[in-house]
Amino acid sequence: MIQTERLTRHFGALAAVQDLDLAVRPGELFGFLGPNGAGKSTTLRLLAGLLRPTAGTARIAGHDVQTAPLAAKRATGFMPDEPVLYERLTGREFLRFVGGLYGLDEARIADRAEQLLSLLDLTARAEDEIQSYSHGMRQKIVLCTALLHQPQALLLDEPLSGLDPHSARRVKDVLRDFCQRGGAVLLSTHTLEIAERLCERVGILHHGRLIAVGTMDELRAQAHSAAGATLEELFLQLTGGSAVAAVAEAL
Amino acid sequence: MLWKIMRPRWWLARRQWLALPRRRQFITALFALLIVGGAGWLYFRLVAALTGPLGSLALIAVVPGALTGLLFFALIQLADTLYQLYLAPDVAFLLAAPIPPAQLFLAKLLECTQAVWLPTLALGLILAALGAAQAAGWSYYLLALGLVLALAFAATAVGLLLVMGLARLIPPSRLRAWLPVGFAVASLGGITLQQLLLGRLSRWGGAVQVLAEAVLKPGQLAAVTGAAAALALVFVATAGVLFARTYRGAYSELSVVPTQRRGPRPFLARLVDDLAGLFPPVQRQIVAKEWLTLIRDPQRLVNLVLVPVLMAVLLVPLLTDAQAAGGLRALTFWLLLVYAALFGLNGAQGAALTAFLLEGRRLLLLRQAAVPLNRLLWAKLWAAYLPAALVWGVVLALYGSFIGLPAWQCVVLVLAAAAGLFGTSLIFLLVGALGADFNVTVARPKLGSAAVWLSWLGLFLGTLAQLAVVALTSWLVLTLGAGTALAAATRLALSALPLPAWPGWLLPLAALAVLAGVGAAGGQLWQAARRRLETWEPGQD
Repeated sequence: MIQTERLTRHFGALAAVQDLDLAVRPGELFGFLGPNGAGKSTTLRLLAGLLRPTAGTARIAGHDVQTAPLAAKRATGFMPDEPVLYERLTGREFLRFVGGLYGLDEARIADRAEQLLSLLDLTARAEDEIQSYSHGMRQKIVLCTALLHQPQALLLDEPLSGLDPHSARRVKDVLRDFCQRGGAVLLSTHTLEIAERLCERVGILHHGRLIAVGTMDELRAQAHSAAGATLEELFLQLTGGSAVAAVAEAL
Repeated sequence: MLWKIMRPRWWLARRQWLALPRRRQFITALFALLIVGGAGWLYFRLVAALTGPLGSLALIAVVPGALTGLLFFALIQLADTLYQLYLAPDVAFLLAAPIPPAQLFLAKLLECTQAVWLPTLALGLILAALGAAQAAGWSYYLLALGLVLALAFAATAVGLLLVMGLARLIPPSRLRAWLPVGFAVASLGGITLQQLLLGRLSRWGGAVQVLAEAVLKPGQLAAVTGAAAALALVFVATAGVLFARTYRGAYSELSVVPTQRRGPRPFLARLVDDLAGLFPPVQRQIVAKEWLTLIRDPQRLVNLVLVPVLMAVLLVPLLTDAQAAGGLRALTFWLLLVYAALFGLNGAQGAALTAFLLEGRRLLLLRQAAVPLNRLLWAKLWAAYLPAALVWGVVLALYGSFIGLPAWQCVVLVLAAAAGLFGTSLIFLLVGALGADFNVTVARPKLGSAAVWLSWLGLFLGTLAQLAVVALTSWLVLTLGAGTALAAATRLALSALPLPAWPGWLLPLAALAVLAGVGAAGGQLWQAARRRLETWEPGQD
């Protein structure tokens, strides 16, 4: 469903993403981890068609993001790391606007908006201008827009940041439900507990390269770790952060 | 503590200056020199006028400008005070720090005085010139300085009191949103006031003379300065008390904009839905979004309406003179045609240029969606052009009827303005798409300094388009309306001018050629804008 082959993106001399081979299957929730600047957001932007690759290909639902961008975008729901919103539109108007961009008719936009607003507990504030929304509400309205046109694949950059536990739980349920219906989710996060509990498979990106990928057991095997090793321990071991952990423990 | 609060501003100003490229530093220094030079020139002109036969009566000439200036500076001061008190990014940090309220108040008072520096300088200049003209002693200058400083602090404290009072009633961020309306009303009021004052200047003679003489007598000046100082103290103390009692509470309550709305969808929003429904599906939602954000943004609304209304206000004295001149009355049509083209250029610049500039980082939304970018460009063009054309059409039709133009002339004016606006809106929209910075989170309605050449290109092509439309309209009016009073009066007026005998077909042909050239340039700009929107990447300049 989401597939990259030798995907590479350079920014001048910096290789933000290097020869990335990734495949997220239908119905799978894939966690994308990595230290700051590892290339996670760049990968998601490459998949969303916002950046052009220096080399390699990216496909969503079989459509090449470069050669069939409109078809690929119709199949994709993207949530960037920082919400991009129109402050003076109400929540419902914003959904109508985005629905229109994806070619949905009015009736379908209204139905889907109602469902999603209710699902993410935003109905009561749907007629308020977005400028009055909290950070968590903004995150949720952006997630609504990503789901609005019923995409086959979701690309989510830190979707749970700033959400209260109640909202975070709702979002997790929505994502699980999306996958049960056959959708694929590529989720970038810094919260390792979330990735460990929510994702079936995890990929760890470091300096633009995918250094480990698989289920928790497969990662433990790759890192030659003990059976009970947590994702945090694996992550620090694989990305060379064990020294940081020692310092943190000393502090 | 006061110095510690104020110090970062000095650091920032210094760092900003040092970070400027040499060329910008040179331009800024040149600008500062021009201000100093202009002040010096004004001073010597004033001294010369005051030592002339009119004496202190010469100050009457300053009255209209001074009163209008005061009106503008009062509004600028309110806006600046509002920002410094409630909206500046450092306020939350300062409030969280253990700073005594009195110190915080003094810091804010000093920060807010910066809005009155310029009028203070002007007043100081007038008083200095008055002193020099009358060969006043050193005590005069000392007292005059005291008077100027007292008035500056009194004005700042009044501004603080007003803003703190207003903020009790209206949330500061909403207050800021509506300030442009205040500026617009003040601009129109200022121009009208100036015109009124110019007609009644002689009535100010007595008052000005009494004031000037009172200031020049040391005893009276001392009393005036003392009164001003006492007034300043009272205002500052009152503002300080109000600050200590209400500021923290008001800041915490009023920084959030309560926008919860209940009940049926407002009429204007429903109207926008209906009108946008006339467009094809993908464009429909883009147009709806543009118009909804327009009707909720007082600043953009003011910009849309202000230019045509300003044109109408500016034409009042000219039309009054034309009426008095009798024979020229018939020619007011041309005046309106040319003014509408000139001001229309500015109007289109405001509406269409900002269509992409105001997107900023939100272009991500449009890029990540499955929207063909040609449709986006068309939607943006219609969304920017139609409201501007509507406002210009209504203003011209109403104004034409008001001054008694025949209905056909009103129709021609509206059609010519609509055609000129379309051309200029198209050009400025594309200039905006090519020059906008899509990486900024807080988008500004101005092109960056790197895109100045684009701004000039837009102005050049827009001017050509407007000139061509005016030329074509003129030819059509004189040819098709050959038997009208307008055509007869125009021919009479033209016969008095030493114009070469060009063949009649040259004007329309030249106008059409210019329009074709502007159209071709517009086509190239369209392709370039589409390519830029398609290939723009986040983080890319």
